[in-house]
Amino acid sequence: MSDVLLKVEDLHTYFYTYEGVVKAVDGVSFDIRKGEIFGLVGETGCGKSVTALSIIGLIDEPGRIVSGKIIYKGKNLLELSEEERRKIRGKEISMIFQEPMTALNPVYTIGDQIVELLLLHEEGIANIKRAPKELKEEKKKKAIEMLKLVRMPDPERTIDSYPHELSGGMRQRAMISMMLATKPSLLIADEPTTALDVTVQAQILNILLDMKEKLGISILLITHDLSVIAEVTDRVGVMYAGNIVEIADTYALFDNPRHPYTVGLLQAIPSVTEKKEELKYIRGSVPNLIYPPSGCRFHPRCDYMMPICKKEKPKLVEIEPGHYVACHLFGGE
Amino acid sequence: MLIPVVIGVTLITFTIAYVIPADPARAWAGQKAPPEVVEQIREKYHLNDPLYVQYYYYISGLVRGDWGYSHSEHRPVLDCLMDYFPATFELTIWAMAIAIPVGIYLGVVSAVKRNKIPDHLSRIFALSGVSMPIFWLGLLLILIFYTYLGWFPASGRGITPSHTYTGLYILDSILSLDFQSLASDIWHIILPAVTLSYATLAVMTRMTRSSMLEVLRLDYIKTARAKGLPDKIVIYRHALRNALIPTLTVAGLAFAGLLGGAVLTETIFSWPGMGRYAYHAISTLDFPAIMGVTFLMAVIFVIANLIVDIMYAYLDPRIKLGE
Amino acid sequence: MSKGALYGIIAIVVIIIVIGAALAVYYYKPAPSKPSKPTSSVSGTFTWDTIGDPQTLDPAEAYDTASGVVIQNVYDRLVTYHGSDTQTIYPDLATNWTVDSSGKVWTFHLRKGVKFSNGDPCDAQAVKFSFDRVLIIGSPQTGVSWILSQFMYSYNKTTGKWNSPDGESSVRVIDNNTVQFKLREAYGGFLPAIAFTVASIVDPKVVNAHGGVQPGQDNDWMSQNMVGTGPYKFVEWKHNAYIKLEYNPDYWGGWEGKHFQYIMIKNIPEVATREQELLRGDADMAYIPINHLTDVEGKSGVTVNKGGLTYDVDMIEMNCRPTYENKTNPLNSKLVRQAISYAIDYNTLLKDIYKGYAIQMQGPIPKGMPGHDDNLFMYHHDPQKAKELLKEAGYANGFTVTLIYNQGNDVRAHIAQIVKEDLADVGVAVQIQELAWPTLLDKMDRGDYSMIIVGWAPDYNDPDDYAFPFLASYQIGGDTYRTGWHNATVDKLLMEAKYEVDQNKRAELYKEVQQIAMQDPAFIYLAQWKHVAVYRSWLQGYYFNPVMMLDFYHLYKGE
Repeated sequence: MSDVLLKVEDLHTYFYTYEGVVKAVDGVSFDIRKGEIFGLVGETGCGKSVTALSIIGLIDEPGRIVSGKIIYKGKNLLELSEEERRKIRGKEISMIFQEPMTALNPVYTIGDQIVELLLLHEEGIANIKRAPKELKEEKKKKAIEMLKLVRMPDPERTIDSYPHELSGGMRQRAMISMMLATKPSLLIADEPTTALDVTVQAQILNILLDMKEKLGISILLITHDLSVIAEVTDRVGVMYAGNIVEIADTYALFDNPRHPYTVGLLQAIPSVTEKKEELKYIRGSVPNLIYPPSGCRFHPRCDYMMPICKKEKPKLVEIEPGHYVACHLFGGE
Repeated sequence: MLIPVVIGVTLITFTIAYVIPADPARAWAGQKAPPEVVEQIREKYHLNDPLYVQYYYYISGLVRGDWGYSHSEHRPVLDCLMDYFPATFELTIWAMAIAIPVGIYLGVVSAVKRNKIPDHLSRIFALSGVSMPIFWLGLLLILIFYTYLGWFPASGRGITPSHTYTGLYILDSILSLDFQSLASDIWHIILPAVTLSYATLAVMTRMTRSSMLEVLRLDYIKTARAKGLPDKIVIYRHALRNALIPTLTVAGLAFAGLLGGAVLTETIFSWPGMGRYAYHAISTLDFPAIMGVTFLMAVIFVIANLIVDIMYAYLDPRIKLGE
Repeated sequence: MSKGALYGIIAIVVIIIVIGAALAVYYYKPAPSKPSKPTSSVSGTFTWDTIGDPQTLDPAEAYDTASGVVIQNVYDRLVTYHGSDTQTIYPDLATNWTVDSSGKVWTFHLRKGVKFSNGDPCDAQAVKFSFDRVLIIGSPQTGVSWILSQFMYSYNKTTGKWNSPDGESSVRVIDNNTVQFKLREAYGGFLPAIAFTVASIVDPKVVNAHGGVQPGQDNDWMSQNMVGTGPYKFVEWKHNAYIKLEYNPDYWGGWEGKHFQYIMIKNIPEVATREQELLRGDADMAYIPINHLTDVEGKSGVTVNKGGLTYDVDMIEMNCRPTYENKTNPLNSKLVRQAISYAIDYNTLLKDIYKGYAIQMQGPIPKGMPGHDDNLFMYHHDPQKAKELLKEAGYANGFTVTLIYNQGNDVRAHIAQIVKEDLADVGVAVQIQELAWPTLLDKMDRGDYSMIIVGWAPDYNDPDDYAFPFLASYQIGGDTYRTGWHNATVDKLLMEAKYEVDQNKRAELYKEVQQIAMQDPAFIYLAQWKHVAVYRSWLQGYYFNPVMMLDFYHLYKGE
């Protein structure tokens, strides 16, 4: 489809560790459309961060992208040279991280860090020290504009502050404004609100929505928090143990979850309105990714397990327009 | 804070030196001196007075610029220190000038190419530096570069520059435009500086490596890479800048330590520095000299600590001065 | 710091090094040897790698060997020794002299026309000034002035006069070139004593221009500077590094033949470094201790000269007092000390420790010195006899003693081991103690020891310099080693010999002293060192004299 920005096709990313091969992402496919916020949700260790890092190309030893395609604007990113990937990284595809407290370099000012990015991608100057003064001033003005865009209080002062002088929320705003300074097409946000207070969370999510409106960017929002998904995303993918088990419009997912795992997840959320006897939980625990269960990785914990579930891994199948499930219950062969 | 530390050091050294069960006057006078001479010495240096009186004489002298009379050299302690301290200082500076850049570079290479060949090589190099007896290294360098190759001299500081301004030969040679002595002095300092630098270089490498490894794991490095910055920039501008903070403070203290007088290096290369002087002073119970050297060392350490603190605050904006 | 600034600094440093390197290659490489011009007889530099820095360059205080060698070559004295001859005294600044019958009045005629290296005349006034100066200052640091005050009148600070019948000093100026000494005592070793560095002649003008002569106080300028009449003049003293001398063109001895123009005495504490420099030829002579001689023996271009006997001796002193540590002291008994002297295996000691570089010390007066008795009895290794003597003394079951030596002296450490074994063979147990020098001196002074390994080196060439300090009792000013030994006969003989001017008579007196000393030994006389010098084979003119230091004037580089 012409408005698909990024298409991930059968991605496999493994980590070759001393204990064995960790199959962190084992056959993941989904796409992100222009101007949409796509959520990737799952528990800790399900492979969502690895997926994000694979897209932006920051998988390090002992990890490797083993197979698959990541097609961005018609090009397979995995076939590009590192040079070419770096041109895209930070310019067209940006990423913000979970811990705003530590994601910024403590020895440089906010301004310097944003200006550095602008100099790199707009002027091709990698070393900020080499840039002429007027150019730096120019970029600094731009940076202040960006800070205003994310509604940073007192941007002229913040620009010359060090990260430790700002609160968590302000730091995350700074990160967002920095990573959007080059007007990328896709922003990957890896758990951007997990480390923040609920009120600050709301502010940041608002900013993200705001940016999507103002700049027309797509956002891949990774989180384990279903309420965030509900608030902000257009579509969502559910990951479990390195695989995508369900993709749907957000509303559809919450209204009509299909995959047993998704069902279990939603049921496990403590409800504000209803009071139950016990909180429902999914029995069992997250599998070892070095020796994952055979067939469908969820089968040991599934109430609806069938014999075929042990033997064959179910494929993602479109059971309704825009709603995909990977489960033998729904005829995935 | 500085003054109490320095005073404390002098007090302790003073007490220890004078508590040794031996008669310094007898040792100073020499074996053949008649008893009257020994007694004369005792009188002159207040050795018959109680300790606190002697201490008072000492401190009041220090403040007036009279650091006592060095018996092992028959001239004022201050004169001796003015001779020997610049020699040690010059040697130490050049040793650090080698140790720091090379050490940091090897540490960075090690960290970035972790567990690959460059890392293994540089770790072996660093380990050898820490475990190799400096004595042995010095002699080895003399054997190779002097005896076999004849490239460098084996002893001394070289030709004295025509005018002495600072006591640092290379600087003085340049200032007095004495190129013959400049050449000689550079040639003479190379082997001892390399010898002296080796252990510190090893320490710098290890510290930089571990510091870098820690920093490279941090989130802001991920951010920097996510920005699309080339690896060189990420390593040197983002990672190293942070990793250097603990490393340079170690370097500052190492410098102060080396200044204490690298006795072994100075002995092998006949470098007339503080190390040899201090050693000689101790073995001849030359108390004023011992006190002088200790006092100087205390002052140096205090200054070094101060500089390190300032450096720390400068490098790391999270730390504020004046606390 | 910005990378740019860092590169800038690196660039500057590299440039300095490169320029330095270029200049070094230009200046530092020894120039290719040009054919020697026949007219130039004074050329080149003599480089001597040795250890030890002088204490002071002032002859009135200097008492160590490092100072001595420099003073001997830069200053002159009235008389001196020539070559290896220890039996004859030769003229130096004095051309001839006479002495009266009392032995107290000596008249010296001085060489005419001698100048200091700065042009000042060296005359009778300078001689008087130099001697008086030593006694007025009184060597507060080292006490070396005792050598002169033994027989010369002392100075009274308070009155400003001399303690003599007429208030004048022992030295009188008769005329410009004649000096007379009126001694307090006729001293048997007078001439050898004034050949020692303490009697060097200094320039009064120079001294008075730099602090003059202050009673009881050192002259700081004189301790760091020298103006003498000797063959070499003082150029520079870099403490703990080197001393540089230059030939004195106006030296009264003239510069016929070949001589070195410069002398470089380099203080190099590490023996390996000295060896390397010698082997490469950058040093003409190097001090190599005995135990390292095998490193250089047989190497091409290197001469190891083993001729010559020094006056340096090693002995073991014994505490002869009646009690030690509140118990009866076995060493108090003459028989016990004889026994111990028989217990030592001298030959093994000389072979293993001294590696043949010493002879067994024959009595308290070293061989070669006037007064030495070549036929004197010597102890030899006889454990049987030793045990008998011990039994006779009542110590059949042996006893324990402590043996002290000074920290850092490997030779003595080794001696202590062997002595311990030797004495164990006869039933005497030895506890070895290694002590720091000042601590050792302290114990010696207080008589708080059993045995200590000690050494002695000559001040001047006279038996009084050895026998008196060793054997005279403390009461009459002897017993430098505090052995507590005394013998009334010996005291009488030593005092007589001290003030006897007839050398033959003195020899007789010392003969008797030596015999008593061997019968009732306060010391175990271990070894007298031979002299070993290591130098490049091209070095000519080297000779050894036990009471003189290295003489630079006679050295030259042959082919």
